[in-house]
Amino acid sequence: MRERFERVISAEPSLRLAFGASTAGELLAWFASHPVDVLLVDLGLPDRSGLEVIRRCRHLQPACAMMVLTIFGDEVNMLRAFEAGAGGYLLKDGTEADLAAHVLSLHAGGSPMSPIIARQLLVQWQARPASATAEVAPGREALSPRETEVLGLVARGFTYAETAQRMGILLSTVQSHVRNIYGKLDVHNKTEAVFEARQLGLLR
Amino acid sequence: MLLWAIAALSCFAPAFAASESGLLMLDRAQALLEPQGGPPSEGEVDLARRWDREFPGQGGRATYRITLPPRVDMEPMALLFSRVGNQVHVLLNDSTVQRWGTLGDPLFDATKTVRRVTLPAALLNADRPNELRVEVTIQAQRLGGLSVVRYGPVALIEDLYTRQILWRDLAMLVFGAGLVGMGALTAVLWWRQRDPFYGWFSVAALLGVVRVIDRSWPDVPVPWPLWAAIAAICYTAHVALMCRFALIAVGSLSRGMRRAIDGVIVVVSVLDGLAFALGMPLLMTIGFTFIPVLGLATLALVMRKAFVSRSAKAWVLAVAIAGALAAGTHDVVMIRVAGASGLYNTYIQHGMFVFVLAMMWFVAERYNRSVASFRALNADLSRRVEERERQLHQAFDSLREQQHHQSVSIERQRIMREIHDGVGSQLVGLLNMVTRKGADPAALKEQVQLALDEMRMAVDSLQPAHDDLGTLLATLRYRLQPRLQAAGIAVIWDVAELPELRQLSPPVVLHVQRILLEAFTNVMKHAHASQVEVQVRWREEAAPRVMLRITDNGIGFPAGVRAQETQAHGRGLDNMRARATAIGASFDVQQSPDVGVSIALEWQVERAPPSSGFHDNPGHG
Repeated sequence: MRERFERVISAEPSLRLAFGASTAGELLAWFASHPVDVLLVDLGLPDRSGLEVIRRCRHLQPACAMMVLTIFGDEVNMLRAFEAGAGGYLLKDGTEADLAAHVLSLHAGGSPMSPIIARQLLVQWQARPASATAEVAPGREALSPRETEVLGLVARGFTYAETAQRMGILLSTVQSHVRNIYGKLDVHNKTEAVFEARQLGLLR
Repeated sequence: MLLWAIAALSCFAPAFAASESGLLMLDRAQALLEPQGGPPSEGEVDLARRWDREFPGQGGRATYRITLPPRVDMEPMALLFSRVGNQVHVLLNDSTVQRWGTLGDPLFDATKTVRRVTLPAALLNADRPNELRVEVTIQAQRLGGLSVVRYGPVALIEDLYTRQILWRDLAMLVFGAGLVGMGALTAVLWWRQRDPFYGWFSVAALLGVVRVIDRSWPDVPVPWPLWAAIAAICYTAHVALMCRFALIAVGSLSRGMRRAIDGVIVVVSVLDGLAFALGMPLLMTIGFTFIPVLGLATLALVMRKAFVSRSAKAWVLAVAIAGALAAGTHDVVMIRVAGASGLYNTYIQHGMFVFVLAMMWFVAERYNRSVASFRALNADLSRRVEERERQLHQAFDSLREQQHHQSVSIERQRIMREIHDGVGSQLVGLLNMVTRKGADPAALKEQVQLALDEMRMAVDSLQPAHDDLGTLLATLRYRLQPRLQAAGIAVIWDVAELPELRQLSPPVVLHVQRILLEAFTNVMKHAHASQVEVQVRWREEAAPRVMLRITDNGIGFPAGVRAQETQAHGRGLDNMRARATAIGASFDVQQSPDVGVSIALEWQVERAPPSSGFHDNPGHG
């Protein structure tokens, strides 16, 4: 399957294949010293969890956009991936035309979001309204009202274009909202890590 | 054997004799005896003989004159009266030296204890003999009169007196306190536990106190003859009840014995009452003989039990009873029968006290046993409760496991069925198409796409957050949007905001999905439409309803043309209808060549109760 992806990317004029690896070790070794724009990670790697790879790479190259390859886009794995720092996902069973478009879109700043994930995020953010107290692990940064609206409309099945139209904003604005939402997941992760470290007495 | 025991006890008496050297024992006096209802008699009397023997059932007055030797030196002298009463006036050489009670007033009884008088040296004549005059008033059967007097130096008299007091009065105090204590303790036990055993023991012990009072308190505020009867009855009851307890304690109380004991109490009480009412002391003596008989019977039964069961407790009890019996018999023999009236003491109270102490041990045992049995019961109950709890836990666990297995297996079957029906059938169709010659690549692609859609939908239906109709529709669109777009069909998505709805279990979800998929597929394949509109509304009335409508602007169902397609149409529509019926929805199809096809579904749902969120929250927790 990696060959398929490599072929698609090579075929696409606006994309250049930089590297392909079949194990996490290979990738990480190479990634440390080679900057790239987009990274596609399969969650089911043989030697290590794809999530861990994403976290490491995020650490190594924060500017790189990361996409997760998944079979169905089930929201359990998706949310974990987003928390780890992924910015988007690709379905493995998509057509090849989809693949190129998706990669370009991701690089351009667009992040796909499925209604189920939108619904899940809404629920999770609503579930902890005031739990962000100092004693407990800091809750996620709250969503802004606009972001909540975006999530709500996506959860109802509207496309980004329709969402932009309904909200009276530009499509790019909607995309940046979604990016921010994913970013808040990631930030949450970082903040929690800091909190944990404090708790453990590692930081002062 | 009894006489032997008496003889042993009598050995105590010589203890007094030993120290009597230096004391003058006066046992004769000149007396003027004036019994009530009888002629007075005057003359020398033997002080060892009691008034009650001479004049049974009669009170009266008496005056005794005794000659004391002249004073030897200036050493103070004293008199020790072993018993004198009932009310006394002592005069030495016509000067009053002591009064006990008021002559004629039966309230005070001087006979209760040994008495002593110090004789001032000034009153004693040195040159000639002294006259000691003792005037007494006597009530019947009250052990009145004057008995043996001892005269000697104060020191010796005091010594003797003190020993007497110690042996008798102190003992009385101890017995009294002990009986009161035991009576009170068992009364409290009875109060707490309501066991009649304790209650009756308390009564018996407290009855014994009456006798102690009688024997030590000189001026009991109860009129004389009544008090005597009361004391005697209480004493009898005390002894009889203690015998009863002894039998209960060793477990030998038979119905006959119980009746016998009750009978003894009644009979002796009657006898004692009559004895005082009629002034016949013989009746009282007869009454008193019942008690040793009862005691003997009790002793016999207890000893038999001790032999049979070899229990140490029973043996101890037998010894205590034997001791009490011996003491009682000694007293009866000495006092009532032999008429002794010297410095002899009664030992019955000692014997009874020991007996009562032994009984107290039984009471303690019984209490102990009841406490132990409570504890054992408690422990047993705890154990059983634990056992039951454990069983319940096990039952719950196994039930839960069963339920789990069951639900898992149901789910598994559903998935298998869905995969088989959905993807499976598509693939079979695909296989058929491929093996047929001249298969159309476009049609093949279509079929494969459908298979992929089926699979995605099957996975979607398994995801949580899927009993929400809104999410279901949204996901379906999300999946199909690319293809619709590729087919050049615009989508008008007019879906209202739906509240959380219940009754969308995975089977229902799948049905709705299939219906919608079928509708969309029709639009893509047959309608030749450029637009499809999805309208979903929610009506909240008495019966909340969801209304769903898919409308396209295609060519409808052209009749006649392409019969195969019409057939497929028909089958598709039938499928949709069947599925709608399965979820309890109404299914309505309207079509016309101009407007297109409009499929409407309407069904009742229940609004889910407000929940804090969706079910499985796999996000950060």
